[in-house]
Amino acid sequence: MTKQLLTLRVNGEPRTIAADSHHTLLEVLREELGLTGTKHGCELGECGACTVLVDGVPVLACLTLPALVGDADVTTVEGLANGAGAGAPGREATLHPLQIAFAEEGAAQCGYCTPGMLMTAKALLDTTARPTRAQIASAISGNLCRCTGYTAIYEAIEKAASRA
Amino acid sequence: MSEFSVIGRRLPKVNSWAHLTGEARYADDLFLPRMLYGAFSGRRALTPASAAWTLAARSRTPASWRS
Repeated sequence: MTKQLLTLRVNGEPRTIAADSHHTLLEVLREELGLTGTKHGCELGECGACTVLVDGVPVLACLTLPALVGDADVTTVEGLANGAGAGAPGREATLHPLQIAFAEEGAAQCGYCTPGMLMTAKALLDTTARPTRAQIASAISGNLCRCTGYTAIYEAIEKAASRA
Repeated sequence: MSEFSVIGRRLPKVNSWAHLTGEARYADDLFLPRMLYGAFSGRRALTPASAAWTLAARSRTPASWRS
C-alpha cells in the first residue's frame, strides 16, 4: 500500500504523517493522529457525525481527501476547548460557550452526534451571532441526532449565542 | 431554602464534559496493537463477492497492525 506524506494544520499545530493514499480526512484524523473525538458514522455524508471545520467552514471529513485540505486550518472538537483537560472539575471555564450550553441543556445524550453538532454550531455562530431558530435548524439539518429530538440542541445553541 | 441538595436542581450529566470535548471513548474509538477486525456474514461459502469484501476490509487495516 502506497503511503503519502501529508502535512496538515490541525487545531493550530502542523502535523506531518504518512497516510495511506486512499485514507479520508476522517481516517487520518482518527487513525493517524489519534483524534477520535471526530466520529465515524455513516461514511456516506448523510449523518454529519464527522463534521470538522476547514478554514472555519464545516466539511464532512468522511468525504474529504486530506490532499484537498492543503495548508488550511482544520479544527476538530479537540480544538474547540482551551487546552487539554478542559472541562474537567475546576476547569469548566476553559470550555467553549457551546460546550457549556450543551452541558447545561442536556443537549448531548449518547454524545455520538455531539462533536459534529458542536463544529457545525460553531461555524454558524461565527458567521451569525444571533441566529433564529430557523437558521439553527437549517444549519444543523445535515447533523442527525437519534436521542434528543433536537429541541435541547436548538436551545443550547441559542443559549451560547445569547452569551457571546 | 430546600432541604434537598439534588432533587429539584438542574445538574449536568456526569459524563457530559467527556461527550463535549471528544474525550468519550466509544467502541469504534479503540485502537489496539495487532487489533483484528471481524464481521458477521450470512454466507456459508466464500463467494467472489464475499472474498472481495474481505480483502477490502483487510486493506482498511493499517499494515502495522496486521498479523
